[in-house]
Amino acid sequence: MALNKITYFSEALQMRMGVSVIIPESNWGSSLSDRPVGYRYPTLWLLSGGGYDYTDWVRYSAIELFASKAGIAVVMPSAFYSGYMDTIHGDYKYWTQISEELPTFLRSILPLSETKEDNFVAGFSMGGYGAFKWAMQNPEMFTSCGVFSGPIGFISKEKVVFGPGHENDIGLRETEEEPTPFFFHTMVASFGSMSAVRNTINDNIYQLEKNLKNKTELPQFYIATGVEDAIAEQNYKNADVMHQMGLEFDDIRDHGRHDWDYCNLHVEKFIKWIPLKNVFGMEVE
Amino acid sequence: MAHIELNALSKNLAGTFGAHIYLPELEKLGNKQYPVLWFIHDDGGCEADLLRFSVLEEFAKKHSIFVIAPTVSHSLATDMAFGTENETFLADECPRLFQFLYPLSKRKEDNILFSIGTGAYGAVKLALKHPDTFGGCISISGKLDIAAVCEAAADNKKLWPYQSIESLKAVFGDLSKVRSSQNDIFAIAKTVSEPFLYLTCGEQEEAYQENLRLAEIDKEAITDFCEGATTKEAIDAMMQRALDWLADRLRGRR
Repeated sequence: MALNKITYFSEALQMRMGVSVIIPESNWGSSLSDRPVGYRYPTLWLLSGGGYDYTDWVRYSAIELFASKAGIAVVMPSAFYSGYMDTIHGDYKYWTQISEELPTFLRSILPLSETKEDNFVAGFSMGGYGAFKWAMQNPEMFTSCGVFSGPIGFISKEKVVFGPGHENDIGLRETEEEPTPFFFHTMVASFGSMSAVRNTINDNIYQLEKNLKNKTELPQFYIATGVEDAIAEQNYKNADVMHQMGLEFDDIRDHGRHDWDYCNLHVEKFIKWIPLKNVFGMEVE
Repeated sequence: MAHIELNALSKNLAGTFGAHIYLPELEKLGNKQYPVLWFIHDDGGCEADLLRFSVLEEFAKKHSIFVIAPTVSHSLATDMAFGTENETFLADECPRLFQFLYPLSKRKEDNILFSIGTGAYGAVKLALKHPDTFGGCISISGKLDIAAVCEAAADNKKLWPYQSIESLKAVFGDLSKVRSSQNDIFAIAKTVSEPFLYLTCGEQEEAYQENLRLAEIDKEAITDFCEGATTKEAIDAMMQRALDWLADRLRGRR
């Protein structure tokens, strides 16, 4: 398959960044030289989990296989520990780079469709949070949004309290003064604290509420978490909240853990689930 | 500098090939079609050799063009007697494939070949045989006389380090029939005039006589034959002069 491993100087981040883009041929024995110039691909913007970069979806999943079967291009940016934020500490503009700079840049050098009916977003874990965030920020850009093991609503409406005995629990604290486990320090670097991000564009449930109130046309959602996932309980509660708010979505509660096996399973299902049109050389209803 | 490492499928190569690409940086990109410098790596090298030439990276950046290095492997840019169709790949499939993938100009004046040493044989051949696709070729210290290489190999002499008699036979078939054939650029040059050839070589290099001969056949060839010992610095300077000349030409000043 045609895999572009791109590095370029990001104006948003003021450093060189990598991004991988799959432009699929149909199968072995075909070549992009057969495509009519001007054809532009339906595109999946596929976001990685926290800590991962532009190579990981390609390396840990069979995404190229799924993309080539479906005839969809796939864009995979680097997110690292940014939490899909313009970070609270350092002002590293990952969110701007991914959600604004990359679409403009990549559509200027590659045959990627710009229409809503041809654009889809999905992600795993923190990338699922990011995919939902992108769908909330730019609902006019996407037809569908997939969230695999994603902590969509981890920014809570209510004040959070980590009492005695919960010092090592995972979760953003109400303020930065409160102690956090060491491995959570990068989350603090990106998000600061609950009080820093609550009721901002980074607060998915707040944004969802706004969009529902404004009757904004939203993408279709495919939201999946396995019961063995460490954050399953939290995700299911959040899904219940979103149902109560009036959001309709595919609520998948199956078996699986918070890992690449689960990604692999659901990215394939998601690509089959989305309403793909304009696929080159394939009869699609 | 923006850079792409590409792996894609080819019909002519019967499978996946690799390419390295330098492209203009984000702020320079606009809604236009960019000229291409096609980098043909030398024999025994690979497409990643593009990364060794910061001068080409600078060129792409400064003049807003794409530099594309597709794989050539051991084919000498030839449709092999036994193997893959690399000449057709480089002259036909590659331009169409990359023009589909990236915003590239189709004008032959905007599609120029560039090669060094043993890669230059293939680059010059591609230019001479495909004047509708390529506007010209820059050859730096080009090793050009493939007939001599084949005849020496048949005589158990090795002129090029990474080609054996067996590998040359796989590319060309009968090694005694290369001279005066469509794989002999000295023969082809007699019948073609259109794409420009820009030949540079040091007068003390082995390849000098071959370059001189080709320049005598193609009277319009631009030559830059430098005197004295050929140091790395001298080759870098030749390369820079050639690229400056090309930049002026792409801007329509020559």
